[in-house]
Amino acid sequence: MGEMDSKIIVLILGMAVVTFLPRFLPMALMMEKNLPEIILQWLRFFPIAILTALLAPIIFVHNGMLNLSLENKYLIAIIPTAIAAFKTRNVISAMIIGVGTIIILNKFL
Amino acid sequence: MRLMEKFIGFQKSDKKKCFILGGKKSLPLLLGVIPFGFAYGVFAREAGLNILETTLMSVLVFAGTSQFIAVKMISNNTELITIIISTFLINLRHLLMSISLVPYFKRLNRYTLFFFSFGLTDESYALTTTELKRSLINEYFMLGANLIIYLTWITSSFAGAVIGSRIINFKTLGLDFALPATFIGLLALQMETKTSFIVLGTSLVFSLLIYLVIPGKWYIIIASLLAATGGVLWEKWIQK
Repeated sequence: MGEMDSKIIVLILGMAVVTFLPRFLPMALMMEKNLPEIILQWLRFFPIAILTALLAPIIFVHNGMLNLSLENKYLIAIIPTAIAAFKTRNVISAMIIGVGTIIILNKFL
Repeated sequence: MRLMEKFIGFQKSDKKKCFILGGKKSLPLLLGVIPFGFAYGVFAREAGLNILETTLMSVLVFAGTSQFIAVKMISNNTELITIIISTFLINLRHLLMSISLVPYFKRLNRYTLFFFSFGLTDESYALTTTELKRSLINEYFMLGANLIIYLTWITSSFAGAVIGSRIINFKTLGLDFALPATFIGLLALQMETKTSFIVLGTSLVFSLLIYLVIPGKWYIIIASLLAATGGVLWEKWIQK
């Protein structure tokens, strides 16, 4: 294991603080407040918006380039994965179908 | 509002059930978390961190992408303050996630709030917001998911640090798609109304545009703000 470098300790603590605060402050400050209806409506769209934004570059951008072709395996795999999720309402089966599709595409493409 | 009352009723009774459910539901995400944590451990050792430092970062920071980027910057001898600022910017997206959870989780006590926020990751957020649309859950669902993901993150980064090299090629196993596939599944389960598709489409277009133009993780924040605003405008507009 060994001794720890004091610079690394400072770095880890600094990273811990700046990671924790954005996760903590909104809830801590606003938890007790009743938000106006329009804000609630706005906040309700965040999960879909954020998840889409997290996924989009992973799926569509490879090597810094937008890839909309059929050679983009991730793009092809979206279809069976999403269908599996819609049909079964179950995330595990969606994940298995998705990974399975990629394995098959890796074998044959 | 009626849902909210039912929710509060449920909230009082089923802490343990929700906690276990959250842990269970997080299992498919682990197939993505494990290779990610393992790879982080390997990279951290290559960047010159020892096993203790590598693991401690996972224990205290618990943020995959920024840990990855931090160890890359360490190996490039980047100044500490630059690494910390980058970490802050990468994790600013959690600010939006935390804000959007405010309407659902009221009056958490100090300790619950601490663990709830500390464990807020892309994974537990995706899981919790999906479950919020499907069933009546309380904060213990998120706490259960957080715990399982957290322990897995620490264990897999420790394993990566100890083993020190990639033993399995995750790509040939298709495991590189495990996390995206799970997220696609979670997102698909959230798509209920026409507005959901408007929000998805708006976020998709803007996140890609911004990702290709602006460096960093700004694409998540800007695209989400625009897409959520688009959703509100769309609903106001069709109501008229």
